Amino acid sequence: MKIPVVIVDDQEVDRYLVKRYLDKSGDFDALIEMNSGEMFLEEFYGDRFQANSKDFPLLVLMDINMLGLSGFDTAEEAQRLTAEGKGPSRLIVLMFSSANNEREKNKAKEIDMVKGYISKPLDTERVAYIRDLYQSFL
Amino acid sequence: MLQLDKYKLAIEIAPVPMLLVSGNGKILLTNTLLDQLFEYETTALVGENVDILVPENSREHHPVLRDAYFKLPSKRQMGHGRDLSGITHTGQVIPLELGLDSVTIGEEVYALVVAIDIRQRKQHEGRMNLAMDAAASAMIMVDQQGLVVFINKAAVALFGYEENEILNQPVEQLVPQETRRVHPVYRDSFMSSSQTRAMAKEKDLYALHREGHSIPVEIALTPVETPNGKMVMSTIIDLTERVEAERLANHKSEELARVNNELSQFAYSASHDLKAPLTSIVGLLRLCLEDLDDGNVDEVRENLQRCLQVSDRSAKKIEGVLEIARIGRDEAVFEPVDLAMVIQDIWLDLTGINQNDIKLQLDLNHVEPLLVELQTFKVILENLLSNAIRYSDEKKVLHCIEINTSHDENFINISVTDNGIGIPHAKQSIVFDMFKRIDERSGDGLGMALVKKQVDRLGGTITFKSVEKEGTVFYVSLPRKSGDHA
Repeated sequence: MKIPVVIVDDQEVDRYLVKRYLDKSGDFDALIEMNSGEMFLEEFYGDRFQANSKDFPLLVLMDINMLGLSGFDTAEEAQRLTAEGKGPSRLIVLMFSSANNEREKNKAKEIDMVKGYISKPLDTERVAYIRDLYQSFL
Repeated sequence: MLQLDKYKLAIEIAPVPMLLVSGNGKILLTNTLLDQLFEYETTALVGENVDILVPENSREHHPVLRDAYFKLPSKRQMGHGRDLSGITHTGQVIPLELGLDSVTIGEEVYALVVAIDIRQRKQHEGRMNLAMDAAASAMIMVDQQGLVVFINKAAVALFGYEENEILNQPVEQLVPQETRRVHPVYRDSFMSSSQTRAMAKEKDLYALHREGHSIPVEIALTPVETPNGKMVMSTIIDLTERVEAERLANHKSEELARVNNELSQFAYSASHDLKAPLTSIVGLLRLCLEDLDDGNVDEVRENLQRCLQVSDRSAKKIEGVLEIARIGRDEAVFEPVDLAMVIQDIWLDLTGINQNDIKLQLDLNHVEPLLVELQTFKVILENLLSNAIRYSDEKKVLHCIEINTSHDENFINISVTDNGIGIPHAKQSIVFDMFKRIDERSGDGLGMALVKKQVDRLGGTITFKSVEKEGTVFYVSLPRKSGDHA
């Protein structure tokens, strides 16, 4: 199986880096790139979205500091919409940030849907960690 | 006169100066002590009218008072509550305390007068008053009825009254209206318990100044036994300066808390916004190394290019942050500027020579020349204008920016109005925050933070009004520097 994965990040460079490392590992589906929280919510919780319960849980790497909705706001909104029965049947959200500070890590723990906190930049080791974390939730 | 002789002996052996006076004021007997006190030869006073011993300024009324006594004779003190004095043979006025008693000898009623020299006591009192007047704390002594019987100089100064406007008046006139009604109750209870204590412990205490304002005070109460009964000495400490100092200290610590908060906000922002590009560069360089190993030279070139771009942007951002951080370090230099020229230059820089699909209108009503810190002034205008240009509304046919100036006595007011897309309501609170960007047209999120800090430093204000889809007006007010009043 390949892990379906979305990156939500407003920095093109950072999306590119994720894409390169995930491609390299071979464990992931083609990266779906979203350049804002708004775009992510529209794409996965909007009218056009079709959920398929047979799908693997969707892995989301969520940048925190973005123009417009922050990663936290986006995750909270996704959680709210999920509770209404919208969007993908299962999501595993990992916050993805360069700040690496306690304030953010603690906040990440407060949102049920958020399952972890990954520090930028991605490298081979962190990709392996993401894969293992994802599989522990299957 | 045998009976009189009997008295003579009694009076003579009395340990205090005494004399016997008849109803018409004639002195019948004196003792040696009295003669000495008034500096007369022994018995020289006998046969004289007693008024001879009364100082001239009260001599006139004395016979009337004396007559009144003889109509209703009793044992009492003379002139209660007044300072009494007598005059000696040599014209020396001496303070006295006089006791009166009536003596009936045969048909006649006489007055037996005891005169006590209170010069020493007065001197002592005088010294006490001097000492209390010299005290830094205000002092007020109150008798059992609540009347002020003594007030020292510091208290007179503190309350703004003349001494005679307070003496013998109820102390309640110094108590603020809110507590005036209950004060006599407290006063009575203190009089009956009479232990030294602080007034209204643990509560803020105020006294009333003659002009009606309240003075924060601390008051210590001390019971005092005096010959005239129990009294209360209040020592009053004016807390005005202390309260003011506390207020200042509080203000300072609030200011510190604000700056501290700003700093931690800055640290938080910096951890995001300055670290993020470095993280990207690290990621890119790592990729480059791996790609080099794999021989993907094209990929390496592309990613080094990306690194350069991110580094460039990052360096600019840090310059911006430093510019904000440096604000206020350098001494301000004010110079006269021609505002129209300054605007013209900025406009050309921002739009280029051929730019004409945005219309700039000037409505300048201030007095030239304007004295400003040119660099700062340019930064403010540049940011306001470049925002107005960047956020113009594509859907509108005409893009207009208007700069309006006016002045009043103390301020020069500049407004920059655009008919752009406006600032979304939800974003209006972060306009001046560092690193906060409104949308993809925003720069580093430093421009308006810089402007705000500069305006604050100059002692001015910056505000704005914005309606989405209609446009935005920024209002800047800067204090006028002396020299541009001409």
